[in-house]
Amino acid sequence: MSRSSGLAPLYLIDRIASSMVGGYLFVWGFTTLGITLGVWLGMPYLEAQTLLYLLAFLVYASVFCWGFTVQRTAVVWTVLAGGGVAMTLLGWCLGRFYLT
Amino acid sequence: MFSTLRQSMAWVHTWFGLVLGFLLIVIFFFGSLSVFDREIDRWVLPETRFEPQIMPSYEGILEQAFNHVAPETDELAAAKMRVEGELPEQLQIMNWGAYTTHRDPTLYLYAEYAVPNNPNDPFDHIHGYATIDPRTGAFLPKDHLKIGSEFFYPMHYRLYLHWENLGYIIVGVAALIMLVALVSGVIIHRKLFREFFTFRRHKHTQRRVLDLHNMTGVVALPFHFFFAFSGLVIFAYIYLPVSATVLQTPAFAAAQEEAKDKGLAFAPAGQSAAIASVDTMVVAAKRLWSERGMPGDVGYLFVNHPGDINSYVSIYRAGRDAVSLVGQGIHFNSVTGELIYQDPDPTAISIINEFLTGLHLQHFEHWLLRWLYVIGGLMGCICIATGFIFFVEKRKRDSQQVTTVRWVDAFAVTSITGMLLATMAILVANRLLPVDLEHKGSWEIRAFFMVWLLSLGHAFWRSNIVAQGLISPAWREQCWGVALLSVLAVLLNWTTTGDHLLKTLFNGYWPVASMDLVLLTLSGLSIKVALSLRQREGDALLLMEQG
Repeated sequence: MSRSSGLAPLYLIDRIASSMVGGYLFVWGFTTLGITLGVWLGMPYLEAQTLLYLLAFLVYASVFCWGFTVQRTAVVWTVLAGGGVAMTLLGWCLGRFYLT
Repeated sequence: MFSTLRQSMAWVHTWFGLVLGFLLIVIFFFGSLSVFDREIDRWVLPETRFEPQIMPSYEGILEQAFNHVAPETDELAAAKMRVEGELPEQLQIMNWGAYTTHRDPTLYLYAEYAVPNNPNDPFDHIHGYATIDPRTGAFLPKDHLKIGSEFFYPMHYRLYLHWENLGYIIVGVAALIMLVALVSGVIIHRKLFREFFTFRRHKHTQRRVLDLHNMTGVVALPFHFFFAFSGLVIFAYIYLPVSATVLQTPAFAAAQEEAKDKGLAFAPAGQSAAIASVDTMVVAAKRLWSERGMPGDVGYLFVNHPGDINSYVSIYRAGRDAVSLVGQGIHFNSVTGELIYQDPDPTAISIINEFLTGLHLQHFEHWLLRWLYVIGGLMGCICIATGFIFFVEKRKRDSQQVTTVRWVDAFAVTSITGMLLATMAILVANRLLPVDLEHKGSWEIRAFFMVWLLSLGHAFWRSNIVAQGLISPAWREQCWGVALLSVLAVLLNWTTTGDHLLKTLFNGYWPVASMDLVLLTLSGLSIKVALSLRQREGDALLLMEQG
């Protein structure tokens, strides 16, 4: 089980990237959307940013571990990268059109 | 990934822990040294061996000193490549500031200079840094490296890498993996409470090492989690720069709005004006702090848009008696000297943030806690080091993993005894190189990395017998090197400065006395480990010969 040689290199790269890169995109979206939602709900901008920075790495560590417990990496990519891109877009729209 | 949660987490813990462990041990070790960075500075720079000073007079010392700070040459050269046309001879000063704590004999100054004509960034700027003797205003020579705060500390948070934000990012990934290793470690060890008290000293190496790995990991778990987590929060603006990218528009609008609300000019007016007495403002700020029931000294003094009619002075109270770094900012109009704005009490979220960052960076005064930080950090190093040794012990009789085991053992030697050797080498180089040597600091850094590289070569050269189930002699040989160099450093401190241990102990000059004491302790420990390793190498050889 702890032998790395039992796992194909391409599979490993995909596995690690899905949690690491996918997780990063997810946290990026989470932070973007979180800040804009906070501001939208009446928080000062810097306050919302501080709050999201406090939460971001707890979320990252959690989704990173979660990624390795899922059988298929396609699921990890969809949820993390897909969710991240969607939240980033939503946050960007909110910031661009409703907050300024 | 695997069929059970524990199997997946065991894989994550083993392989991420191993690969990032080589970075994490460096980060933990230099973090532990950074707890006493200012004291190490005094050991390496004998001209700064005087008592910590409070923020000096602006009119008497600071104003003239600020005017002599110049842009860093490497930043200036890089800025010339980014702009259209020529950079002006004199760059516009955007702001300057001075920061001090209760442990600083010298004073650290910085300035920011506007870089005009960058088509990609209207706010482009570069920095200038200086360290002065606050009693006289004399500048410390630039090539006199403050090894504690300018080398060991940057090794901790960016591995002393200069290119872009690469060092910060690598350390960030390592910190994230530290969090992951802690979470996955807890999941794979079901008997967490029992491991608190389990250390079977007389069992064989593999069991003993795993016990020590679990014990240091579990006992210091909250400590390790806190430091990895708060470290990430401190540099969150680098890791997740959403406000400078996707949210640039609302972030910029909010910053302008905030400056307007407080009455603090966001940009200079372009019209020059003389500055009023800053010393008078400092007196007023201290009076206002006293009225709020928190008398104190100035920790941070900042002048925005100096020389402009829109200029203002911000004065922050030193957090010697509080966890947060500085606080209770009071802002004055530079030209009229009038009070503009006082920072309100922080909100709940700010308090949490200031508490986390303050507890990590610890500029407050609490010497016992300071030493506990060092112990916690070194426990982290032991936890990681025993992780490496366990990895090797578990696999060294497996003929299919000969190369992996040899590599891991050699890297483990390099990142444990090799790192100590390099650290001793920079201290010895600091004492041996002539004071007036040009670029002295750069030569010291070269000595550090050269010795580290040599230790890597030595570790690989000696590691070929690990695959036969024996102990690499590199461990023992490098222990002797550490023992020798650390005593040499103490002796050199004596001969080059006259501050021998009896004198510093008798005078109660703890920064230098403690440094010497720690070096001697390290030497004693290294000798003990080297002797015990020789014994074990013999035992292992005997065992192999007996078949």
